[in-house]
Amino acid sequence: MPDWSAFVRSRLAAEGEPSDRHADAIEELAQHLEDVYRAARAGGASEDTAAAAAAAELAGLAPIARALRRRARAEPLDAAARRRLWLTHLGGDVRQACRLFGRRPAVSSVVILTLAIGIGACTAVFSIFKAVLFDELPYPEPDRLVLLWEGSPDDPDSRYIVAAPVYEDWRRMSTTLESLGIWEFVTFNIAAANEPEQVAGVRASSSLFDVLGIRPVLGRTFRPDEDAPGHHVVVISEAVWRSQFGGDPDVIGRTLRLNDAPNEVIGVMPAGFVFPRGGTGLWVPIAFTPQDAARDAHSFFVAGRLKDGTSLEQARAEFKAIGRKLADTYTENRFESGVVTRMSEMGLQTVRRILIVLFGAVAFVLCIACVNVANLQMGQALVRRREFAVRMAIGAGTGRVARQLLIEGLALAALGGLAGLLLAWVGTRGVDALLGPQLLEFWFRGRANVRIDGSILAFAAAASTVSAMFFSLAPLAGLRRSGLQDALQEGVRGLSRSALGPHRALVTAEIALAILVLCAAGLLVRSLANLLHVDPGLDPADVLTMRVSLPQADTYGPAERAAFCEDLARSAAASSFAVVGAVSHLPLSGANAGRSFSIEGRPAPAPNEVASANYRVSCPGYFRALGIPIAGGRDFTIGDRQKGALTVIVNRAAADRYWPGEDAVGQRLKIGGFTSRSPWLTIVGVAGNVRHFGLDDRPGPEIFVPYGQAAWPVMTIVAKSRGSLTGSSARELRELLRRIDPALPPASIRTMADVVGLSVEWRQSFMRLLGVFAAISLAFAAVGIYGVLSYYVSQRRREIGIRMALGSTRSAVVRLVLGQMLLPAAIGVALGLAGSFWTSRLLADLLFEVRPGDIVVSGAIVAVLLAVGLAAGWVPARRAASIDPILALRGD
Amino acid sequence: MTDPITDAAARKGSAELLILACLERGELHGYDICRAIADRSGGVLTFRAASLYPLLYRLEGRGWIEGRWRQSAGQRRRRCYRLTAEGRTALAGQRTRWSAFLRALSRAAGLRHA
Repeated sequence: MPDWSAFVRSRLAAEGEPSDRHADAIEELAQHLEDVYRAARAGGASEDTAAAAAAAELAGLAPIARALRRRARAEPLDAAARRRLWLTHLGGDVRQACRLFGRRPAVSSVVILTLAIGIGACTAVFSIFKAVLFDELPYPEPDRLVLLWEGSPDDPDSRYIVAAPVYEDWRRMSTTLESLGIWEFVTFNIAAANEPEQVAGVRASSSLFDVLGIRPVLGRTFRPDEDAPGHHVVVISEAVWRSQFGGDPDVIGRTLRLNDAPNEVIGVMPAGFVFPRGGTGLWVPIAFTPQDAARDAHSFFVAGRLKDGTSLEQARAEFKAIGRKLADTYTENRFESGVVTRMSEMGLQTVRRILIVLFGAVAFVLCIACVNVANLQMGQALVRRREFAVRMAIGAGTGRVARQLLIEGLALAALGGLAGLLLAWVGTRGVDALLGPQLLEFWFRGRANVRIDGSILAFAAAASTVSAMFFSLAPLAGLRRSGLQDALQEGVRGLSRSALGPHRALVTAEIALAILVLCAAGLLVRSLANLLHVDPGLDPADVLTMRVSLPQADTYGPAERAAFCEDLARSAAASSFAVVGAVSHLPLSGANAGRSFSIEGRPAPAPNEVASANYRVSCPGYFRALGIPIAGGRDFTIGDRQKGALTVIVNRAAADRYWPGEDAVGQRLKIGGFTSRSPWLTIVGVAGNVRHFGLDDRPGPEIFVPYGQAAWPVMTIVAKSRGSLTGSSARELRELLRRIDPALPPASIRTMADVVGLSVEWRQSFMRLLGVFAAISLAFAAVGIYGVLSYYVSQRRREIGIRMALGSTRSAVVRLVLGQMLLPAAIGVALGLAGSFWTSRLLADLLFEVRPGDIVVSGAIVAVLLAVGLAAGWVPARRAASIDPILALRGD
Repeated sequence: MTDPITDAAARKGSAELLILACLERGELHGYDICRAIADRSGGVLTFRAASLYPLLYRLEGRGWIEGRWRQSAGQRRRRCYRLTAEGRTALAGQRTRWSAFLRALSRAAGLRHA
């Protein structure tokens, strides 16, 4: 029998088909011929006749050869060959991309810079986002750490600090928590080598250190028996160990004088231990006092550690149940419940909102950057239409061209991403300057550690890749639309009407996105402006404040305290200060205390309607120093003590709430419930309202008692200068205190203007940052509009020339060019405004006296955007109007 | 509305119809397809390899049929073709068009229906 495979191979070779490409087909055909041959033989044909019949089957082989060629093109290659081919093409594309940079350095630089700004801003904000919201607390198994609060069962968001007996009940009753610890903030004066010094400290239970799971680097923490009063031991921070003991390794057992009493150093905590907040230097035993025994004395913070495998929800349910049980047992707890929160959530509410808004804004900025780059690339792609058309004509599929574009895009994005990372790194270095030092300072962990690490790099890489995919594939849509066949025939001269379509769509997107960012920034600007116009109720001008920690009640009686106030008032005379007073809780400093009180001559109120107010202790001169008006009655005087009558001043808000329609002056109240044994106090004056908690907060009721009447551990001296404050004012105030009592350490000397400023600082830095992003998006939008119109003018030179030759005026040409952007801009504005109505709801909690969708803000934004858009379009429009028709027509 | 069947399309199309119809009942290799067509047409319609295989490749490229190598015990492997779901739909469509065409042809040319 003839070798049919060889026969088929030779015939195909004669048709110009190399046999190694079609082994399968050859085998198949050979078998066919063999079947024919066998059938013929079986039918009685001779060998020769049968062979001739089989050979005749392949007569006119050309269609088979053609079909095989076609099939080889369409058929997928085997994996190895595909990989080889892919790599060859990849190499070519990368080389091509590099050549492209050389060929158009200006466009490439603009693309890289734009991407760098977009990716850099995004990466920087993401690194803050991650550090603040995703970094774990620096304790073992931080997921199990919780804070416990008392709260109102009616209000799920309410949380109060805790009374000691309730904490003891919780400890006894809880089964979901492994351990609970309690603490309270205290400040100590320590007798340092040269000058007394004030150090922030904490009264803490021995169990608190078990909850946290952190061991001291030297010595030990408290033993359970040291929770009882009478143990004068102290655990110190690494910073105090260095500053007070020079880092002495034998510090354990040495003595540290706290408020003039000797305490034995028993332990040194590690350097990174920030509990409960930065700057805490001393931990002393909790040693509950008789005052702490009241069930309504809410004074303490409580932390707990969940048992392994116990969920937060289980603990929540348990504390709700415990709360109910306590409410049934004790009248004081009748309206209270137990609330459990994650320790890591502490203080994140506002900052989370801010970071989400910022992140949204930079994401939009990156989108706008990508749209701009897509615009540029699309323009370039149209110029390169011919190149692509040729490539596709010689057999490159759409996929190959898409890949080439993608690789060019990835190369650009990689360079942009690297530059962006550099920007982000600079941003994270300067994060304090950008966001202010306050916003990133947290309880339990100190400053958020904003840094560039692996996940940030991955983020930047992902952002670059996604950007590249978006902006490099957009031109492909444009290419398809413009028709490659046309490109081959007409070259690059003409631009069909539809070819500007995708550009217009991008401008629309750009304007819409820019409006979103601009509106958010606009609302914040307006909030801040509103806020800065708010009357704080005090005059911060030329006022210096200084915190001073005073001895406790046992050594510092009413006479000593009154004498302190008197000395303060008297010292003003011999100084450059007009008035010197003092207060327990300086407005806008964040400090606060509250008291419930009873009003003389009123029936006992229902337990949930007990009168209460924020509580202040002050020295005469405080109101005058801060310019707080006394609206009725009189200020405290030095003489109040001698007359023996106990006095109180209430603010306007308290007078309006508790003595509506009456004159509060002359009425009497006492701190605590009706049965309390505290003395009646006579209201001698009504002070103006002060926005104590922030300019954006409504003033609440406040009551003031003279320092001589009530002790308070920390006072802030408030001194109003006769003239402007000078560089020596702080020194003078320090000296003034030293003359009154050389043992009292001054701390935290600040002007009142700074205190007010600090209270709005986060808003300012937030607004500034969002303002920068808004400016970038505005600039990008302008560049986009400029780019599209310039491109339009350059492509339509000939047409514009003809129009002008036919008598079109220059202004008509300007209108024609600017008119190109009218519809896309209008749609963009509409979409942007509609979108901003939704997105700015995210902002609602951060705004002050301005609502999302504010008409003034929206109007201003649209006006600004149109003005900038017109300015950006003006340049190319003027260029179009100055086209010389003769040159334009001859140019072709 | 069915597509009109033009002269050129008719020649190519009838061959496609024949192949698809052959494969409707099951898998066949090239030589069997030739034989089946010859048998079913009573020897009137015959295909040579040179004209059959380009059609098979084309139908395969269109996704109407699918070819794969089959190895049965004691025999050489053979490349067999079978109808895909798409091919089945195409066959139904072609049948409709051809019936309409043949009806029109017999009316117009006064053919006696077989």
